[in-house]
Amino acid sequence: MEDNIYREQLMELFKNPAYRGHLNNATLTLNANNPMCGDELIITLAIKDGVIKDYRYDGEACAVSLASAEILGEQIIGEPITKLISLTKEELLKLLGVQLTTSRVKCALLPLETLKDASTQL
Amino acid sequence: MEQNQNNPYIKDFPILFRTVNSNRLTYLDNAATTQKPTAVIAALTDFYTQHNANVHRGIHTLSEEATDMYESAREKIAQFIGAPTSSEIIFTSGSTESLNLVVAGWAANNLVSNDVVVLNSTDHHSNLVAWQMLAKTLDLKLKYLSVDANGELDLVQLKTYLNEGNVKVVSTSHISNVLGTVNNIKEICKLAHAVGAKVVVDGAQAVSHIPVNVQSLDCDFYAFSGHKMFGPMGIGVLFGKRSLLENTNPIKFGGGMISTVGLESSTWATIPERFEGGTPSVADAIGLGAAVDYINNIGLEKIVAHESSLNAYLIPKLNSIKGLHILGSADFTKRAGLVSFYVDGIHSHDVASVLSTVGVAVRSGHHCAMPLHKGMSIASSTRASYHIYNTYADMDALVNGINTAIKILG
Repeated sequence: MEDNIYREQLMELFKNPAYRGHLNNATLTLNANNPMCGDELIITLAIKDGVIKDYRYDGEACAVSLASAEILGEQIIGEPITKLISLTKEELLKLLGVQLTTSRVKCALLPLETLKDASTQL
Repeated sequence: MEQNQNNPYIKDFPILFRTVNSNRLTYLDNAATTQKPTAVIAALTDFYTQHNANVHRGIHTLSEEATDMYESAREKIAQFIGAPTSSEIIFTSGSTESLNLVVAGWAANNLVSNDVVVLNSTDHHSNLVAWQMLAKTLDLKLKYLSVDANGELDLVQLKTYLNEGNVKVVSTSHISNVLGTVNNIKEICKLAHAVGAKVVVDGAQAVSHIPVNVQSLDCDFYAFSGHKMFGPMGIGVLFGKRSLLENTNPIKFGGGMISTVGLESSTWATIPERFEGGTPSVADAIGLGAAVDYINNIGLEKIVAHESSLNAYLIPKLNSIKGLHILGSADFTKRAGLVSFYVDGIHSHDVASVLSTVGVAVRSGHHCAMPLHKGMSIASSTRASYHIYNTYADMDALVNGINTAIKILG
């Protein structure tokens, strides 16, 4: 049931973000775009010795992709890049804790897929 | 009385009786596709259960019946848009294919390097991308018309482009699928023809919403889709003036479109068959004919008045929502039956998601008009588009849903 997607947990992530913003000491800047929806995120990462020291995201996107970008922060900061690479779509969707329709799954996966696509640069 | 739940047309559309997320379906995505009346669904069933056969080939009874029905649909459509003859009505898969036929079949053979094509910057990608591709191949120049704050095309700019010379084509939508602006095609044709340029019109959002007469508009090509006018998906139309169609090359080669075939070369059938290679979507063409009958029975004047009264009811309500901005003309007498808007701080997908939970279907995103949204510096918008079966109650459901979205996400 889609009517549950704006549940408390997701709205908390959307309304009180911990990782929204821009890193000044970024070692990598990525653009996460979904032209079909008009989602445009900029993700900045500070990586040292194979460890993701810090992470921020910012931009214009729907609540689902922003909440998903927030969860990603919780999952990867302080962790080795290998953890990010091994994080599956299914795990991320489970962490979001809402049932999404096909079109919204794309929104939810935008931040993770952008990071994975860039994994050779990490 | 048609604006309330006594609207007599609702009963013609079986899908309007289903529920969505436990709510009555409020279908406001008609600019993407309209729902189908029983008359159209019955025409499809009748064809497949009683007459199914290929057209223009067999001499057996079913094939004769199918051919007669197919050609009679073509005749109905010709009359509906005021085409001089039914041979100037080409069946395609939809507006996109119609426009591609103009670009790849006519323009590719009649334009040369440095010729100018004037396009509408607010248009649907279907009327931009094919021209961009041809411009690369032939080294054409593309010039874009802009719109003012009310979404009106800048005809002064058009005159400037036409005076600068070499303009061979002006291609524009009749009605913008995002702004709802009704473009003054008659005037555009007059200006373009004065310098010998041809006018190509994407009528996808116009046919079935306003009266269209290709002869009084004097346009050279007119493209539209069946599924946006109560007809089936997969069928559309290109009208072209006979003299231009005679100079248009087919873009689909194969059965049905030839006159003679040798081992080295072939000659083409006459128009319109020349452009309908392969087995056409016969049932869908017949279904489109049934849709034309359905529209004629209602009367276009009634549809125009109905959509205009929905605009008059909805737009002031939307304007009173804080943080909501309507794209295009604030004057609702100047727009067709659709309204696109954005809400400060809330992504259009979230608005559409919340609306969906209460059974309201709207479009969100860039509506295949990325240059328009970029030009307005917004990422996306939400669009509500209506037709004859929509009511004031539908508008109330939309407004209530938007308020809910703002409460949740704002």
